[in-house]
Amino acid sequence: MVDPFHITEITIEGFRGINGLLPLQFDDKSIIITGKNGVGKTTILQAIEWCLLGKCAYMEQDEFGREDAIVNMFHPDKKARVIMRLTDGKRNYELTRERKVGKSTKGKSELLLSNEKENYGGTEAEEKLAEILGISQEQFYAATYLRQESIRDFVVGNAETRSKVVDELLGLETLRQLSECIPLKEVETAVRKAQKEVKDIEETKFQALELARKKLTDYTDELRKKGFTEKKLTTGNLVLMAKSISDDLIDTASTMQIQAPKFETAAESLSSLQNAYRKLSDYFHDIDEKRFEVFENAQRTRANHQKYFDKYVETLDKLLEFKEQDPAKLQDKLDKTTEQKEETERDRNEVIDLVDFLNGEKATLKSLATESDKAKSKLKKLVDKYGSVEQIEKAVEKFDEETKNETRLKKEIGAYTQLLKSAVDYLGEAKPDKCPVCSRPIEHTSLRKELLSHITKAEETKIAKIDEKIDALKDSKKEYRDASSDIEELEEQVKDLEGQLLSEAEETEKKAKIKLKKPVEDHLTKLIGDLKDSARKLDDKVRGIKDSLFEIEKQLKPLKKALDEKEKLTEEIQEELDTKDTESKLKETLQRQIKREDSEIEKLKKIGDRFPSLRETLSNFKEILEYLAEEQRIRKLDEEIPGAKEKVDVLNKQSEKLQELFTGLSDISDALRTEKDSILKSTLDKLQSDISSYYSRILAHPYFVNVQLTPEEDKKGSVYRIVAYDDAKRFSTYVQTRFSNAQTNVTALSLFLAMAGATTSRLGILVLDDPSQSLDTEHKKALAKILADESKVKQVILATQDEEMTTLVEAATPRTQLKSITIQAWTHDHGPELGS
Amino acid sequence: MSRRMEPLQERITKRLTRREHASLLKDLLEWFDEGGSKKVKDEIKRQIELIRKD
Repeated sequence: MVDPFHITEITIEGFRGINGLLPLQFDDKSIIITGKNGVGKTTILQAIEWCLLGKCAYMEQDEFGREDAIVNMFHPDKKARVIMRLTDGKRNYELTRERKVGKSTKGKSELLLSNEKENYGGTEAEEKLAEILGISQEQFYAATYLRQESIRDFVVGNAETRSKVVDELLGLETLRQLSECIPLKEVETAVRKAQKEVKDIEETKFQALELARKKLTDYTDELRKKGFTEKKLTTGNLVLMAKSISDDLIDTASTMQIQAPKFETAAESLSSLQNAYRKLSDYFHDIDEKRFEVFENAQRTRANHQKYFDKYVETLDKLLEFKEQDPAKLQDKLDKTTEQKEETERDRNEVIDLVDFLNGEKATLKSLATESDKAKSKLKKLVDKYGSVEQIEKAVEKFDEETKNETRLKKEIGAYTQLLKSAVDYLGEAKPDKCPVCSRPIEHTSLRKELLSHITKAEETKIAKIDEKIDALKDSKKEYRDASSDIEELEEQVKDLEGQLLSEAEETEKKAKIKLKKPVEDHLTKLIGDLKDSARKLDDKVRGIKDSLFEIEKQLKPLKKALDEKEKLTEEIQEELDTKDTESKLKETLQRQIKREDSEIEKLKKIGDRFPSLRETLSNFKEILEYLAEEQRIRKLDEEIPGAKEKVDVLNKQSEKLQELFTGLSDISDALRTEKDSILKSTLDKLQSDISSYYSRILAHPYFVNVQLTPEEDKKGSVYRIVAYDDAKRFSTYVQTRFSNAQTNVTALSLFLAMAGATTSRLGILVLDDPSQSLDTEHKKALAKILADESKVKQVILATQDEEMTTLVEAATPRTQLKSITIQAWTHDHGPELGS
Repeated sequence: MSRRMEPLQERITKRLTRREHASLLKDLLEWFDEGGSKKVKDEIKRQIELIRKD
């Protein structure tokens, strides 16, 4: 390998996961670093990146600013160091980059660069390295180092960054920067600003002067028409006019009994006269308003008083119509008649109440009499049947006596029967042939039979009859006792009803103040009829009184209304005029007041006559003032014209110079763009051809078979878009919008490899970190073949955990061009442990 | 102006429509060579200010 620089050896210590010393010999070959995840493959690639650039692009996030991710935290010296040897076949350089642990990953590192003859350090070393390798950071990441995490970034990431890199690769970056940095808009704005300033001066000075002159001529014509000669159009005349107007205003105010302000004499200057005009005009409007207000009030008051007068006269005239009527007498008559009406109504109500009472009493007495008669009838029937209570008592005693007798008889029959039963028993047992009492011979069997017959007869007939008779006696006794009780009860009831009848009759007599005659019902019926007649008569009387009352009220009501109105109106007028006068005196006072008000209104009218002339004088004053102000303005503008002309000349010259600058810069900008387009046309074709070639070799999209970098102009300038086309180039799409992950990765690899081929830098290495992610076997095969081809012209440094990819790369690349480094494991003390 | 800018100056000058713009181009390339895009912008702004102060 000759010409571009490549790495022959690298020694890493204390860098990220590499704690011990890790020397790696690259032997002028491409390198494939294999091993499982997390054993330190990427760290070796990052060590190359850090040594060349002093940074790791991957470590940009916020967290890396919070701790040092470069220096291994267990390294005894707390120091990271990467020593790398580079050669282009003729020149050999050794790079040593190291740094001590810091608080952040972004801490600065120290670079030493040396060869057989020279040593460089610090900034000098960085500059020398850039000069030797001729590579920018952007180029490094776009065409030298394909990071694991950014494999797709170039395709899907920011179009501006991508465009910057492409321009750098194509040698267009300077032209791009130059084109973009020429502030054409600012120059154009400056030209327009200068032109506008010229226009403003022309408008505010030259045109304004012309307009002011025309305006002054119009004022002069107008004032001449009003009879103002040139001599009158002076400040001196205005001073006299101001004095005359102020005198008139003070006089008018005095007539209106208003305290006028003090008007100072105006000086012969426009500002003083303008000030005087403002004050006079304001005061004129104030007192004009006041006059109008006073006039309105006077007219309103006068109309109000006239209304009072007319109404008062009308009220007094109306009262004259009631001249012969005495309201007091009418009222007395009304009161007495009302009293009579109330008394009659009271009597009538009493009669009606009595009728109602008697009707009630009549019904009560009738009901009591009916009940009493019923009780008496029942009593009579019982007495007729059972006799009086005493007679019933005797009958009951008799029943008791009979019952006793029957009971005794029943006992006697019982004893006789018992005796016979004893004899029967004796005859049955002793069977004697002689009588034990008289010793006569007896036939005991027949005797016993005969005795048994006696017993049966006595028990069956006699005792049953006696029992029947006793029961009948008991029933009779009970019936008589009940009758006796009923008689006593009825007697009590009759007595009670009789008492009630008597009591009701007494109460009726007492309340109605009458003596009831029998038959009471008939008497009451007659009495009620008489009372009803009496009530009807009283009703008629009440109606008559009501008619009288209506008549009296009819006379009294309008009289009272007229009197009330007069009283109310009198009070109002007295209060309005502040007087105690009444009747005709009050009428006269009111008349005098109206006359005074008429005279006041007349006076105000005369004052009002002064105002039109005052207003005209003020208007003339204002017009003359405006004329003089315009005249002064013209004088001032006339004075300013030479200066303005000078200023316009200067601005015109500035405008011309700025226009020249703008034209020159536009010309340069166009030339830069033309040059850029020309280079782009000749170089982009090659790059696009390479992209398409790689893309088709790594088995691309089944439909969009071509991928190209297409320059487009947008708001921010020219950008390169990545566009895919179908075979006939009839349809296109942006890769980001339609491609799968694997297809996007293939596109990214194609772009990376094409750009790596286009780079003009002298660093001949191609670093790829796990490029086979998302690729299937076919894609991997194609990529392995491409990398094998690349290893003929560049040092490919590939890290992968993909065993299939390793096998494919090793199979595709001759052993003379490729060295395999296997990392077996990672240990805390040392870091990556290399295989044999 | 450094030598690396000379070929560019030559190429762009050829593309200008008016020859008098060549000196402005030379200034512009010098500014760019000295301080990049920022210097070009600043210098043109300064030119505008100088003209306006005349």
